[in-house]
Amino acid sequence: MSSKFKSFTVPTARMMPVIILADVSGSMTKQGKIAILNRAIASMIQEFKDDNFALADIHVAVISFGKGGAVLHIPLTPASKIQWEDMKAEGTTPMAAAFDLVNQLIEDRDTIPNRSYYPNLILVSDGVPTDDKGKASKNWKESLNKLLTSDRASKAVRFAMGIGEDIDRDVLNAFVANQSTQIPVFAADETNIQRFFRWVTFSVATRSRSADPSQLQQLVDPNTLDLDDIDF
Amino acid sequence: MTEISRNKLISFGASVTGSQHKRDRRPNEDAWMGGQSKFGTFIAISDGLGSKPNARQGAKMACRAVKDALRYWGNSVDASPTLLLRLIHILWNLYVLPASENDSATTCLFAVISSEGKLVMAQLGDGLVAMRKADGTLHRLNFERTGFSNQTIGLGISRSTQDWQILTLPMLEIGDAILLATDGISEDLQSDRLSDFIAMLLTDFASMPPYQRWQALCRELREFPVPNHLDDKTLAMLWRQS
Repeated sequence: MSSKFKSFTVPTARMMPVIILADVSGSMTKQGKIAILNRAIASMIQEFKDDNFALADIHVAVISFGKGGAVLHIPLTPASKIQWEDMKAEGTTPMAAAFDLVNQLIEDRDTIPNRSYYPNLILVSDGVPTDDKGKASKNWKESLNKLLTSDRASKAVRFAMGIGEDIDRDVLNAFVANQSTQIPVFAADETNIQRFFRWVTFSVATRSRSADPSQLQQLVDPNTLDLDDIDF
Repeated sequence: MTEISRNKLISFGASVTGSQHKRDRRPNEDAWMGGQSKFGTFIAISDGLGSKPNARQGAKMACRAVKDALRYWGNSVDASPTLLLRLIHILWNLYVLPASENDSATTCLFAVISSEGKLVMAQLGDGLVAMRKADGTLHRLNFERTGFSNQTIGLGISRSTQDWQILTLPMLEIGDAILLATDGISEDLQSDRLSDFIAMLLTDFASMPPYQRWQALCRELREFPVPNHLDDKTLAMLWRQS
């Protein structure tokens, strides 16, 4: 029997947004970091495409920050419909602009309706934030504070990965601080960027398959977990 | 299942356990109630907060608190709606004992028509309270969620009657109808089709015999046409029949 309610309801499952803030400054060209990051994100999106068990509808957006400021490299799109295009690395590290842009994205109720599950924010960086002239700057503090105190963005689950020795630990630690479950910063070198994304994929997929995707699962430390054995 | 008919005021409702709770072998944590007395007629729904251990009882007691508060409030001439809300808080706090308020937190939505004909619609927490006038116009309490799915306030969390949305109208006229729904339904309704949705409930369900109507509503709610729907689902209606 056909549903009498059908023409009055929305036809889609609730969205689970996954938003990546990717550092594409010039230093990401060293040791092939940008190539590995591109591959890792593409692989994560493919995992979401292949996940037949997700109860939530996983949407992915990628904000890159480097030359020209923060850019929406991929607008929020269902994972199943994304055709990945590699990011190029050049320029400085305007992280404050990336925080402003993601805040704007999350606060937009047309893009992310209230019926969505909490967004997942993933910050990846290999260096120190700069101002728009390329000079090291603390301007990220104000932008991050806005992000962490806004009505909606403050509810997001936040993950962070620092690549290499030149990372700004203060900014990465501040990004993941004060969450209901403690989530440590993942420390990577150019060889294990994919491990972090595998861990994030596992965390997002677990939550999207959960009986209650709005509840954050207890997470294990990505720095100690053997991620090669995880099955999706 | 309940039907009340008094001065041509009719009410009905239904509540089903969501697939999430079925999978977890947990009971329905929504509740609804409709009732009448010499003090007035009401419908109430509540949605126990899923993370709270006493959510089911909290939700049931919210409906009971509305019913009992109406008895005192309706007996007092010119008592303000704010006094009704305060009574609901006090009674609910008592009813959930010995469990803590926080462990019993629940939303609370209701509509009351006093014996003098005064209509009060009120909402604490997410969900939907809407009235469709007979001419199709819609009056809706806008409870603005600040976060995302499953984040709300409610009895056991709120400390002020200012957290409520409230609307008072002189009376319910012939053909007017009020719909209450928990967020398991309201979040998935197309907002621009809400008036038509209420009209459909009246035309397709209201005329059914009560037991058959309850069965039909439960079937619609269990087979809710939204992919991967998980939540418990509850609705209640009150309208003035011609």
